[in-house]
Amino acid sequence: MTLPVGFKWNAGKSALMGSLYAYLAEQIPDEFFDFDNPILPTKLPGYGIVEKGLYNLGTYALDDFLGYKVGFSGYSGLSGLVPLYGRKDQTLVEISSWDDESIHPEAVGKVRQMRDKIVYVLYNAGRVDDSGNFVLPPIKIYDYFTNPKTEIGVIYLDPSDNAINEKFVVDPINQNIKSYKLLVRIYWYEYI
Amino acid sequence: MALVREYKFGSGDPTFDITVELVNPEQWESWMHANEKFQEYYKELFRDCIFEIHRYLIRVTPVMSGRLRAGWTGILNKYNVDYTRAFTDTSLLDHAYINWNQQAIMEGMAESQWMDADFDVSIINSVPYSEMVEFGTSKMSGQYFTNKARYKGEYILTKAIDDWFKEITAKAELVKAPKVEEVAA
Repeated sequence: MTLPVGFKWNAGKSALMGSLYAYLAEQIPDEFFDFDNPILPTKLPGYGIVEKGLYNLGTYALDDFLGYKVGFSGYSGLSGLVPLYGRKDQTLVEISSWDDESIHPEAVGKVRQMRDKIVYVLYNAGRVDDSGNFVLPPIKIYDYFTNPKTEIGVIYLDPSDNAINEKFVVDPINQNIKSYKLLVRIYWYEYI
Repeated sequence: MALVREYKFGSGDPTFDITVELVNPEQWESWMHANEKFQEYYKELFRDCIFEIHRYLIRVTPVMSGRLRAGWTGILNKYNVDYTRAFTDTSLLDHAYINWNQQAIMEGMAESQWMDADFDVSIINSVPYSEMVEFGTSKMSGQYFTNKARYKGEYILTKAIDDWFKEITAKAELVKAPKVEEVAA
């Protein structure tokens, strides 16, 4: 048994990271994003974002129970119960703000502001205010292989107090380059 | 065990005595010392977890000469904890260009520091370039190995305590925590 030719998993990492990137770019339209780049972005000031990965959380019985759906089992088409949907999964994403002090004299302040934007967006995504309106819309996972795109899940920031680890770093190679590095733990659910 | 209460009222005396008769003094004794035992077992479990997390930290630390990994080994050497498999394991790394250097490893061991208290263990890697490897530079990706180990550590500790409490509940007595094994995930 092999995967069908042209197989695309609409609920995989591809959809997850694509959706997260699209959300950040949409919410912060005035900054430059260099996606999947762990080093200096191609344009400054700019964000470099890359996924770092984290161990699999495994599942609890209730997750499996809630998540079992009739889906593509891989053996006989849409016949199997797939324990995928409803499972909570996690990953670590590095989001770095970069600027060069030799080009922009206020680079340090700039990277701090860029850090603030990211933290504000991640904390407030999907959060509701007193009147019941979203402060910022939730981060949905979309299947971009369909046209129009289909909503298949949701991403949220780890609600514990150490979900975002941050450090201001002066680049040891070129001291003019200042960066603010955030290591963010996110959770996601797929609920096709 | 049964508690037999005996009330004695003296004539005209407003005080009274209560006599407690112990039917099963061994069990009473074990209850009296339960907290001490709990502390002792918990200390053992905590230390087991620390070493397990520590081995994981070594596994996710990038390696070339071995100096950076050796920078973690001080406390493990002190307690004779075996970390040989973790030290040479590269399965969790994106890339590994191994070029073992005995002198570099010895330097790393000399740069390994720790502070050791009952429930407060600090492990410090003083290898000079460790921060660059952890957070990266403008030309090199950060590895964040301490963060990866911390998140895994949360999982290991939570699971270990959970398993222990399950064991206590199942046996209905205070038992030693099960040995912390490497969690495959």
